Amino acid sequence: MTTQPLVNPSMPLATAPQAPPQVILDNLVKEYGSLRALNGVSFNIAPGEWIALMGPSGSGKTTLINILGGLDTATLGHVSINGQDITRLNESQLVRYRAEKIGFVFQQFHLVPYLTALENVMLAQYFHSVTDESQAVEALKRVGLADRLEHLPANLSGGEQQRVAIARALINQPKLILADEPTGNLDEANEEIVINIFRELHQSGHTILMVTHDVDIARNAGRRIELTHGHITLDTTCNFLEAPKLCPHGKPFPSSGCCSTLDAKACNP
Amino acid sequence: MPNPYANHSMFRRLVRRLLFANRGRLFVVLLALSAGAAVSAALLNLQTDAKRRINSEFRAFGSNVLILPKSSLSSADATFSESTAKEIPENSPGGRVTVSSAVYVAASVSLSQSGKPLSGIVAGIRPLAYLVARVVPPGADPTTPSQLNLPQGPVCISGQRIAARLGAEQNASLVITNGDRSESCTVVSLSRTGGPEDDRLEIDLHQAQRLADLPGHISAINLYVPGTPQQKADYVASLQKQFPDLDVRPLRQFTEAQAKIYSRISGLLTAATAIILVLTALCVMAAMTNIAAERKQDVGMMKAIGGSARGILNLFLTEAILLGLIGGLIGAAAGIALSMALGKAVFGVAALPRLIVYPISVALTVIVAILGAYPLRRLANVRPATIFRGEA
Repeated sequence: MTTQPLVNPSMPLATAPQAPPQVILDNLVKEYGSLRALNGVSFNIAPGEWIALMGPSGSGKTTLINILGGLDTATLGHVSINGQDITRLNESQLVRYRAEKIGFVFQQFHLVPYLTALENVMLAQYFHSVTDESQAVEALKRVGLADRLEHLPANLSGGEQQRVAIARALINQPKLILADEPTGNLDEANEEIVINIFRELHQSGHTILMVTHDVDIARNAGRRIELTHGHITLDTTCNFLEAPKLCPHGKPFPSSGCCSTLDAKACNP
Repeated sequence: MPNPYANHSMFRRLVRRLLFANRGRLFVVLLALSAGAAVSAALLNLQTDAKRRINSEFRAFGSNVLILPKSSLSSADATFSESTAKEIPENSPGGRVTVSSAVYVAASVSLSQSGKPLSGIVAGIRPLAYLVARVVPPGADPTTPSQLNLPQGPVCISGQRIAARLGAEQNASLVITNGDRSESCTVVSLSRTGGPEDDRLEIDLHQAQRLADLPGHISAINLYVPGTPQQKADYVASLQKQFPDLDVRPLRQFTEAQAKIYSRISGLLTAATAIILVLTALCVMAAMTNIAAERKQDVGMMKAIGGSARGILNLFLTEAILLGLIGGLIGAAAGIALSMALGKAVFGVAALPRLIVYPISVALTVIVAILGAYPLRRLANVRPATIFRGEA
């Protein structure tokens, strides 16, 4: 597969780590009846960061992504993105927020089955402002789908469908990309293609928050946050790509490992 | 530079895709809408035509308004000028008015060959077309005597009872005398109404005027005024104003019976149309509920990528309007054809296609399609996270 660079040369490069946070989550609580899915979650995301959000099923990962993306509302707490508190937005402001600032990539792809690959990408332009077919074609070319423009989703492989979804998520140049297990339904080869696209996005300065269960995928992120029963149980910022292959004591690095204090215990049980 | 019309083009593209997303389902929805439009158009056309049909049926019974001299209540031979009939407005709010002038003479009638003379009332009526309207052969023009296949010379219509007393049958020649004046006529029809007309002989007005020695005078003007009771009342009031010296009398019994029959038929057809439209809306709603279930994830995704409830709703409503329009155009055309057949079955004559019924039926079908799309409208307002959690 040949892919062109994903990012427009005019896009800003990755921001320096000391830049003010792009996203601030402050004591976020979400309740579904008597169930508390998020229980006082607070953390910041710097511009250009790639965060892997991990944790067991039911830990609140998708709820967190939904609130960040304006798909759901928080019961308590605040979420500020680029200085705008999205918990105070009304429905029509949330619609604009989703159209302009967020790019969603779902595990189930969520392509409209009766629209072609090109039309699925143009749909995001249509809801954002004005459709531009040449720009949509260009976006699909960048994810290696130049020869699949007029294909319906049913005629595309899982990996191809996910690449259409990524092109759709990027077409309006969002500030934050929210990916909910984007490789969860893909085979190994397609997983690699999709992750390479995310690497390129990260390198070009996009902020990515990715839910994943796969530690190998999580290693691509610069930071890992683990949720358990709505609480943050781990928030570590080591660079997985450059992680040491051996623990400090010379033992092999654990497969789930990282260089955090928790993993130090794994190296030396 | 982005094309400013690109979004209109994309909108049309999306609606086209929505329409043809599932051809089987499209066919079912169109079928339901077309069937509803066909039946409602047929009933509406029958309803509209029923008014004309009932008017025409009642017209055959004769007049529904009488103009008499005011003195006629106290004097049997009071008359007024025949020229009054020419001053009566031909058009009423309910349609064209039929006018006939009459003069009544007490005379002696007998069969021309040595018949026994009998005393009776002879009514002279004009125009001739009015007199012979009841014996017009099918397809003939009642205003053209040559088409009516009538015998040569003066003609008359005899009431059933007087004919029996005279021993007269159809085509019998009668002699009518009043003092030293005499006229003759050929019986073209025997009438039986069950009323006083059965003891009466109807002849041409001018013959009756000669018998009574009242040239240019008439005893009454009979009018058939079509329309609703209110339209008739308005017309009668305007006539009374025009002829203050005459007595303009609506024959209420007749008018009210006509109104009652029309009102019942109209009510029945309106109720049937409403029921058909409600059933159609329920059928469409059932299909749309399935569509809403199918499109749930699509709607969630559209909202997730920035689609507003209004924007998504516009797509679905346009789809529903187009379905209603197509179903309505096809169905209403079929329905009007159906009403012609039904009219023939009910009244014996095909109902006239009424152009106004067509746009009304199409509009009603579009409204039904929009109402039937309620499940889609509801879906457009659901929060995307609710859809993705499978709670919508």
